[in-house]
Amino acid sequence: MVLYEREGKQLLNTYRISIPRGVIAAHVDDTALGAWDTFPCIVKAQVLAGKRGISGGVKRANSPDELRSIASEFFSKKICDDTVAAVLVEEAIPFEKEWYLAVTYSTRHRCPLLLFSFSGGSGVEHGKDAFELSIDPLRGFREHHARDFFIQCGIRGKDILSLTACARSLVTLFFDEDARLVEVNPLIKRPDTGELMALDAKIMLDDDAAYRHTRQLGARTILGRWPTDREKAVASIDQGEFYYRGTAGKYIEMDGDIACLFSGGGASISMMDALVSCGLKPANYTEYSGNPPRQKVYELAKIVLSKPGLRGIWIVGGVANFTHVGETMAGIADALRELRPVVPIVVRRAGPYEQEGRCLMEAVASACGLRLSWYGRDVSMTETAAILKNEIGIS
Amino acid sequence: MSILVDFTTRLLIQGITGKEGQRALGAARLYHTDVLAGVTPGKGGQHVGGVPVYDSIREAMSEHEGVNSTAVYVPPAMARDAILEAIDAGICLINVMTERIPIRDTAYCLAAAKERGIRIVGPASLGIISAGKGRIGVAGGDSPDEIYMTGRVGVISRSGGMMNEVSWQLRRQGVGISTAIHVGGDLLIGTSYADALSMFEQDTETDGVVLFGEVGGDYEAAVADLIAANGFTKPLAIFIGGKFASALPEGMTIGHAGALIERGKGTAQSKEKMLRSVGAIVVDHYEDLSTALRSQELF
Repeated sequence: MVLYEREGKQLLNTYRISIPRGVIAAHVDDTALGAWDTFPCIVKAQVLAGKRGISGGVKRANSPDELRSIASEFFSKKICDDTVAAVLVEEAIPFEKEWYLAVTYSTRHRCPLLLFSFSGGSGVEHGKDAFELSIDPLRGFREHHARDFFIQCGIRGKDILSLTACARSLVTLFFDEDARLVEVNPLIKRPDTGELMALDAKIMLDDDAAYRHTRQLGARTILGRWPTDREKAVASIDQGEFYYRGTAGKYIEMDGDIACLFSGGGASISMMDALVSCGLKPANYTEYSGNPPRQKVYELAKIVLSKPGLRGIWIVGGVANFTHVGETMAGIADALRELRPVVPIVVRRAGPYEQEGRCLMEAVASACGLRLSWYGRDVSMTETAAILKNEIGIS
Repeated sequence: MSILVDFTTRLLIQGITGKEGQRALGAARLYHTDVLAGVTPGKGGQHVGGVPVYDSIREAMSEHEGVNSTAVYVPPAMARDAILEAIDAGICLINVMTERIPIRDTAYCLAAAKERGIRIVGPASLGIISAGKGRIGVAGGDSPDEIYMTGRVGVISRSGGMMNEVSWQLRRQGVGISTAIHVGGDLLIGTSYADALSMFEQDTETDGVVLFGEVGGDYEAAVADLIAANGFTKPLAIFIGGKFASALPEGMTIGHAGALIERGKGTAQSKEKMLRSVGAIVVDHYEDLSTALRSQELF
């Protein structure tokens, strides 16, 4: 989960990293805006997308009127294709140095890395040309490693100490909060006090570690908009004690008109490519994997198939290793029986109990008059995209 | 030969009393692989399908000589300790099937394994199968012989389902397999593509490799480096899924936890370009992996 800037900064602050004084406004009439009395101030649109600064999502206000008009502008449009969730108003901080400091996992080193760059500020790509320090997960962070690291970067004097302290806080936060990314850009040095301060924050938390934390975080956007009712409904399917076993809870709505029900993570992303490259447009992305019970698959299928405006339904999976094709198809058949879609349905699936799955689906098709065709292992998944296109009658 | 798994594999299953663990036991037995013992803390003394269950690996190994591999089938919250127990016991191959392990725990286990020279395959790995010889995990399910035909091509996959599908497509074309390895879909994995390729390079019974890859991470960069340094000299065909994802916002993951969308990094397109530049065969459709090595006049 990606945190909004304000959420990230508050987390930083609990790990003793200074942040500017600020208030958050949820809408343009929020009393927090009217009560703000320090000018000039910085007004920042709260969006999940990057490149906000150069996309006009950060502005300086010199008066209450200006503040209100900027906030009003932010709430009325998308910034970086993302809906503005809130507006953050902060004191303007003078600074003499702008750095980039982050902690993230590196697939190259397969361990956490501390990243530091002299060129902080907007427009800096994620630690591009940054210096890197590996953090040993077994032994944790050692200050003398960090001091040596900053010295090698060319830092001198008291900055070595303040950056090391800041790095320690970031690494502690990174581990203790189960983050996947903690990025401060820019990290600035105040000319008056010499204090370091985080002017922006990007924190990504590990969803798989959510069970270890009790956080109350608000809603956030998906693909730049608020989650739809259908998306929210699917998200609840996988909750509960055995959340990690047989998932059916991933669903993202898109602009197209082909309902997709994919089995397995790898199949799902390669079949999205196959669909797009044959000229069809997905109405959604969804994936169930492992061995989800009939009920979970039914709930997922019902929501996927209930999206208005569908022109075709594509139910695709590989030759399964151990997923019970009979059981998962039973869940989909239940949804088909209930919703009776009139558009073409193309299924490609094989694996354990494939014959049972096929019989169930063909029985539903025949009883409800559905335009369903079933393909097994002798036709590749990719080929069935073109078959569906043909069935719909798109040339 | 083959890699990682063969007739000499002597397996332990951690979490053998659970549903998934029992399935892994059945799968190993069905495919020529000895399971010596199982471990589930608190359930020592029980038997699962005739296999004795112990409370700890130490106990299991004091009763059974020759354990050289373990399969981890425990819930995510217990995975870190189970993997560390296997590392401390010095078991040289650990296949972790558990999905959704917190990445902090994975990073810790990978570092601990590296220090001891122990290989982890996974996490979130469905397993490893050496055609006709043995398997750890459930690749091929109850009908492995329908999918995995003995032969000389190695398979590496980021996806368990697609490993089976790709192996099936190879079989349709009459191409057999030495070993197929599901490296797992997480961001951090114990055995990367390059690690697996280095093993296939040494394997005299592997003539070429096909790889199912995905958007996210930069494990392909290590593949390109390996090939450029002549660390892998056999033909390699690759499919990279997730081209559509370049239209998605950064920070999102799609399909697998490792399929992370990052701006300008790890895109399917950039990976294809990098791999082409070192001479790998990049295919547009996954099923083309089954015929891609033909042009190498190997098959």
